[in-house]
Amino acid sequence: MMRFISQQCRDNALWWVMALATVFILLTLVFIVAYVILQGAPGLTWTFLTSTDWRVGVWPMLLTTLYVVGVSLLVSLPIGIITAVFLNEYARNPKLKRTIRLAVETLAGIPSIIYGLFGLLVFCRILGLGQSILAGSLTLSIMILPVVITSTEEALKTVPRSFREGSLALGTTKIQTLWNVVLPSALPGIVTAVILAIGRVVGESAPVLLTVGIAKNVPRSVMDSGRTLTIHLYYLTKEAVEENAFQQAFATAAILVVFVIVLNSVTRAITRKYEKRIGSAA
Amino acid sequence: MNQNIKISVEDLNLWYGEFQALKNITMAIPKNQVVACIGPSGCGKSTFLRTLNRMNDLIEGCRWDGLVTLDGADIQNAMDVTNLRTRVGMVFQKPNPFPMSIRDNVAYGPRMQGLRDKKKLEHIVEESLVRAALWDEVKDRLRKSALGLSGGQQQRLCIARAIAMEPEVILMDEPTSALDPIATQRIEDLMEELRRQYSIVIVTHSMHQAARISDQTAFFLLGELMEYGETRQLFEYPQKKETEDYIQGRFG
Amino acid sequence: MGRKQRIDQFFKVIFTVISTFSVLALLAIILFVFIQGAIPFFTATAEAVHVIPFGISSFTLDGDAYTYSSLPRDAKYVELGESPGFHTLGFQHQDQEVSILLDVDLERPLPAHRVNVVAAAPGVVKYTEEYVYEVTYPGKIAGQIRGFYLAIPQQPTGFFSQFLLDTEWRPTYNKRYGIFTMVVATLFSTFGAILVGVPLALLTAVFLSEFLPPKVGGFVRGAVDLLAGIPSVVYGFFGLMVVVPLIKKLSGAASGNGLLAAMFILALMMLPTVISLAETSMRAVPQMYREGSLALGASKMQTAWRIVVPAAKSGIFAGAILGTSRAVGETMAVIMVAGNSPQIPRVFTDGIRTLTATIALEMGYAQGRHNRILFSVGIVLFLIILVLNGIVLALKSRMMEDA
Repeated sequence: MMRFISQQCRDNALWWVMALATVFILLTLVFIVAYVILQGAPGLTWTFLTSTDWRVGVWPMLLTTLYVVGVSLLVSLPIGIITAVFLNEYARNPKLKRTIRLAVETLAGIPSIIYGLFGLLVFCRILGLGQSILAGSLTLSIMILPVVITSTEEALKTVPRSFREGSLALGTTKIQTLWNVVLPSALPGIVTAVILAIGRVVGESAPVLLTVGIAKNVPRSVMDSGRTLTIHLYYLTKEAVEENAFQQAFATAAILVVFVIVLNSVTRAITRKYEKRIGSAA
Repeated sequence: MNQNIKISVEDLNLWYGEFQALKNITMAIPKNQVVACIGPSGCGKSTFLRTLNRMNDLIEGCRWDGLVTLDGADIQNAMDVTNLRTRVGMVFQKPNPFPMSIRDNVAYGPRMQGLRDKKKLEHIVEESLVRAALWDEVKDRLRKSALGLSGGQQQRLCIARAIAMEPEVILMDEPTSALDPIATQRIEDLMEELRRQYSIVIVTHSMHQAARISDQTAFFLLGELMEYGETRQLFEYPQKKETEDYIQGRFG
Repeated sequence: MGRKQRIDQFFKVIFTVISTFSVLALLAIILFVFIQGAIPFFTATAEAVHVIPFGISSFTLDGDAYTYSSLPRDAKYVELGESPGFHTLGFQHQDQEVSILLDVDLERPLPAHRVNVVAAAPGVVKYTEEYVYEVTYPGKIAGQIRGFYLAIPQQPTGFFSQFLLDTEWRPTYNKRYGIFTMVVATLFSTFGAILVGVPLALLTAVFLSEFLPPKVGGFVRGAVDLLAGIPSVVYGFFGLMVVVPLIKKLSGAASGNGLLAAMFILALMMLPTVISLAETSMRAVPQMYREGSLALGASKMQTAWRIVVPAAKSGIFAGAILGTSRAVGETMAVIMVAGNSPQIPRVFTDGIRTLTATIALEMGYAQGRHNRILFSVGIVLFLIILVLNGIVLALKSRMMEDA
């Protein structure tokens, strides 16, 4: 009986320790989000968002971020999706597939700064693009390639084999089957992959610092250097020259956090809907 | 060449890697008849069926030799695989409608063949659904997702989808094994209708189904074609002991 | 072959080509960075002394005349030759003929002795960096300084003696490229993060997978996902504004930037990775294990820690290691809170500088060998990550076998 009671005490104690750990993590998250948003909200004025003067607003940074996201998606999505389709639908040699997957998985684990070094070397120097939005976008598109490939492949894997067989049995070609049946069925998963990729590009900083640079003006083209929101936040805290630097830093951080929250909720909504649909198909 | 033979199979051997799944199959599938393939699990009957429209090509490590002809034309060398599959339709074990509307499911095949004319497509959709005995049940919700249909309805939709291609042969791979008895009954009635226009090859687990619906029956065992002949003949006077054992339920 | 078949083939070829390209592009990363980073250990920076004029449009070297515009476009220098001996540089200065006599012997042990400027009057000789002389002339014309740089070749850096195990990082003047302090800093901050983060993550993961009702669990999972999505700069900013002042206040140290702040932020950042992997692998543990244990009279808590956690240990380890590699590779958040002085920390509030921080901080201005050495730092980082990834892959295949 004594042993039983002490066991129960231990169980209860451990339960509380685990609950505390979980609550601690939740509170930290809530604290970070609330702290950044509450401190940043007063600075989030219309002028701040739209002023082209970097001392006052973040319009150049928003634009640079937008360019970087756009160009890197433009490059990495087609290549990544096609590679995933190739791996999942065309490649037959299991050894080759294993090797490619291993390579992709390894590259997914490489720290982003190494991608930055690569981009600096190859795009900025060897290809002569200099520090520019284009060079940075190309670098980031290679960085997110593993993410796009693996998550697209996951999405393709959830498309039942019977869809493919049913279509092929009607005398369609492989590419017709892919385009009309397989890809539409995998679309929600692919969209989730895209959102994931957007999140990574927007949040990335180290390789952006090396390849896009820190220019504070409105970029006129993708060949210009620019400063993304993340790098702007970094420099605002590092240099803190302007009087209101910290006010601006909080507002910039708030933009980033709000953006992440929005992306997260969109992903969750899609996933939930998708699970329902696949559930009814099976 | 016999005018009444639709598909002829000669010396068909098939391997999955090292495993030989079909051994020296030779048989002829006559026009406008229902041929049932029976046999215990793993005897090669489904594999055989999937050879007839070259669905086995999709399986890694699968190779075959022998001569299979459709109306006298070699399906492997003298014919485009997509062309072959438009002429030889297939219905699968589990209903596999695409995740799109009922109408789009039926119109899918003709569209992929390049048919764009809306009126013609509408016509094909209606006619195929009517012939698959599904029209009355779905005519008011053609735009709804096919995934909302019941299992039996989904299978009839798959039949309609195959019919829409106006094939000459329909292959059915245990089409009723995933369905309840009432839905099964409806599919069997449907096949009774369809046999007038098409040659049908059906793989079935149920000997009773084979006896009920087929004109010819082929009995497969361990990759070999043990016996092939008129259904009544085969069930009443089996030539081989293995056939008799199987029919009487002694194994399998 | 029919038209359709040809189209199909065509697409197949396209798909093959593009995916080959993408995989090769990914592999090129390793190749390029490795080559660039390996150069300092195998070759000298140059074969001979480089004479680089500045503010001088024409000059003579050992009697040969050069003009600035005729020098090679990318590298505006003249090579002085490898053989020991005397060389003369001459140019016009305020209508005067000036000549500089150089005594060169690259075999001399100290870099400072390899080139001697014998006569430079009325010029000023400065030894701006260990391997660079600056010979300038007074009498600025419109603020322009005139003179020459003399860049002396540096011999290959020793990988262990002068790089990995050297504690001196003085890349600009002294050309010392020892990264030992940074390796130590990376290891310390990472281990500290593991020490804080992994237990916290494991407790949460067990709670999440075994004890929380599905609805609450879904909410917590969403929060963890959100934590994973927050950009590292925001973590760094948060650390800078909240954690660093807090540490300063509590410890009474001169600055809160340092090892402790880096550890805390890294621990926070690795949480989502560890939690989600650990939780996924725990949920994959078959229900019958739990039932078997419960049926023997074990409590839910005992079942969770004695049955489920051991059964899921490969996944938990994999999560911990992936979290570790995230901490090793993290750059900006660390820069913002770690203080960035290259030293071996003795107390928790000492400033540290990690491998990643060095690359990001110095790439902007690093020239010549310094620049290449930063790529070498990248290689060291890459090798650490490769080892960690290798462990994860091995664990993953073990997980497959278990399942």
